[in-house]
Amino acid sequence: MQITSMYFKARAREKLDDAQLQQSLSKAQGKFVHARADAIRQLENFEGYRDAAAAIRDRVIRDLDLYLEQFEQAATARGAVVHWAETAQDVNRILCDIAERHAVRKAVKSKSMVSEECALDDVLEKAGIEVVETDLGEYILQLAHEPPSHIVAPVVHKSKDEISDLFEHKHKRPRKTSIPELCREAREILRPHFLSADMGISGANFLIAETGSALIVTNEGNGRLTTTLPRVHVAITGIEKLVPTLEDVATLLRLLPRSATGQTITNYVSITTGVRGQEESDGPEHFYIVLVDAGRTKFLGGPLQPMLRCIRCGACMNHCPVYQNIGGHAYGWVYPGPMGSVLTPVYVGLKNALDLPNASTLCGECAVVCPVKIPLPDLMRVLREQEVEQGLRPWQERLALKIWARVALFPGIYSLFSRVASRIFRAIAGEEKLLHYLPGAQGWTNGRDLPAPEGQTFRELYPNRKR
Amino acid sequence: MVREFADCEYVVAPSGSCAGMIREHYPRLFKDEPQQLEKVSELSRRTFELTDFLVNVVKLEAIPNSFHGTITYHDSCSGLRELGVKKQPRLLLAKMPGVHLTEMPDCETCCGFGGTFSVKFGDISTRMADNKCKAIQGSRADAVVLGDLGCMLNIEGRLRRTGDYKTQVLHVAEVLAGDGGD
Repeated sequence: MQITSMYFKARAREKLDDAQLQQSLSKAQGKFVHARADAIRQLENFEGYRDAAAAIRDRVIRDLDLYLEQFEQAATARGAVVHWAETAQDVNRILCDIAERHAVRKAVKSKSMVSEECALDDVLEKAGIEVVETDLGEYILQLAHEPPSHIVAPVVHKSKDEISDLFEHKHKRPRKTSIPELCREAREILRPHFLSADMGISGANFLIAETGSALIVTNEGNGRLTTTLPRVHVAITGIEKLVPTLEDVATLLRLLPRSATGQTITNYVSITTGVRGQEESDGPEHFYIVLVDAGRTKFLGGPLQPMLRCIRCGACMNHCPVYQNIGGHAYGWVYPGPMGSVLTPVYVGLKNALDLPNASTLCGECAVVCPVKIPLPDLMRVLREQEVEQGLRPWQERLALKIWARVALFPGIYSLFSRVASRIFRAIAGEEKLLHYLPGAQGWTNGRDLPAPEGQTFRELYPNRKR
Repeated sequence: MVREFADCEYVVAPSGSCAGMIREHYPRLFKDEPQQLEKVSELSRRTFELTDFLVNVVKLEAIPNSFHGTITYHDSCSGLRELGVKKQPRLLLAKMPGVHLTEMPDCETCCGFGGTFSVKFGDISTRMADNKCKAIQGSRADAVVLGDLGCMLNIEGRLRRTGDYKTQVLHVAEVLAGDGGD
C-alpha cells in the first residue's frame, strides 16, 4: 500500500473539518467502546485472561523459529504447501505464481490486512486476474477505490447514504436506503463470484502450530465461502500469528471478539486444516499458506518486541482519543491508531512516519484495553527516543530541548528564568490574565488562550516555606 | 530530586503526571545504574499524588472546610492510569459540606494536553480540549475540578478562547482548601 504517513498533520486537519466523517466516527466510537465494556464486564476474570493471553503470545515470540517449523511440518503433513515471503514483493510474486500454475482467472478474497500491506489486489489485477473483495466493508472500498480506515471495520468512515449512492452508481440498480436491502444487494452480486472463482484468498487470525491449521474469525460467512468453494485456497498471514495449540487459541478467542466488537464470539470461527480429503465433500484441492515477514522480524530481540503479541482486535484505536477525532486514513498506511503508530514506522521506516509515534497524548487508554497487554505508550516512547537518537527531529525542537536540558541542570538559573518568564507573561497578559498569542507555540494559541502564571513561582515560595 | 527530598518521609505532588513520572518512570530511567536506581526507587515509593496521599496514607476522616457549588471531576490520564487515582478525590469531596458532584460523560477521556503534543498537533489537541469543554458545560457544573496542571491550562485555555469566562477550572486542592463560607 502507498504510504502517506508523512502527510499526517495535513490529513488530520482535513479530517477534523470533515463533518460527515466526524458523524460516522462518533457513532462508531460509542458502539465499539460500550459494546466492549459490556462484553468485558460479563467475562469473569478478564484480567486473568489477559495475563494468560500475553503469556501465550510471548511464548510463541520467544521461540518463533521452533513454532514456525512445527507449523510447517504439521501443515505439510495435511497436504498444504507452505511458502515463506520475506517481503511484500515476495508475497505478490508467490501469489502470481500460484495463480499462473492453476490457470486462475478470478479470485475471491476475504479480509486480509497483510494483503493490504502488499497491495496484492493491484498486482493480481495487473496480471490479468479479476479480484473480488467479499467482506462487505472491503467490497464497498473496492468499489470506491479507497483504502480501509480501520482494521476490523474497514469502512467505518463512510455513511449509509454514501454507500447507497455508491451501490446505485456501480450496480446500476434502483437506490436502496435500508441496511438489510443494501446487504441483500451486495450478496446478490457476490454470490455468483464465489461460485465462479478459481482461487480464494484469505488471511488468518491465528495459525495453530500443533495442527498446521489456519483460523479465521468472521461475521458475514464470506470467509468460509472463500476458503472452501474455490479449488485453490491461499492463506496469507504474518509469521507472528502463530499459537502453539488449539487450547491456547481458545483463550485468545475469548478476548479477540470481545475486545474488537464486543461480541462474545463471532458468527463464524473457521479452522482450515489441509486440503479436501478423499471422503470429504468440502474444501479446496490445493491449499497454500504464505508466511510473511515484511518487517516483523525487525521487532524481535529489541525493546519493541511486545508489539508482536498483537492479535489485531482494534481496541486500541477504538479507544484512542486521537483516532476517535481523525479516523484511520490520516495515519497513512494499513494500520491506524496506536498499534499503527508502532507498526508503521518499523515496517515502512521511521523517517517516513515521523509524526506517528508523536501523535498521541500517551493517555494510556490503549494499554488499558489491549487484550494482550502491549504497553503501547511505552513503545511509542521508544520510537520517539529513536527519532531523537537518529537526528530525525526538526532542528528547532532539538535546539529548544537542548537548551532546556542544559538549564535544568542548574536550579539557580532555571529558577531565575522561570521567575522572569512568569513576570513577562503576566505583564503581556494584562488584566485578563490570558495570553492570546505566543510565538513558537501557535499550535497552542491558534485554538486556545494560555492562562498567565499568577503570584510567585514554586521556587520562590519553596525556600520560605521550608522548615 | 533524590538529594533534595532525602530527608522527607513523604513527597507529595499536586499533579498526577509529576507523581506518575517519579513513581513509574524514574526507576526505568535509572535501570542501568544500580546504585542510583536503589535511591530512585526508594524515592518513588515515598512519592504520592495529593488526593491519593490524603486518602490512603493520611487516611483523612474529615475535612474542616466547606465549598459551595456544583462541580464535575475530570480524571487526568497520568493520575488515573499510572497511579489509580479515581475514587480518592471523590471520597474527599464527598466529605465536604456544600459540594455537589455531578459526573460528566467521558470524564476519563484525555483532554488533549499531552505535553508537547498540544503544540505539535495543535489542531487535534484543540479538538480534544473542545470535546472535553463541551462535556463539562453539558454537566452544568459551576466548576471543573481536577488534579493535574497540564489539563488545567488546556481546559481553561479552551474555555476562555470560546468565550466561556464563567466555568471555573479549579485544582482539587483549591476546593479542599474551602471557599471560606460555612
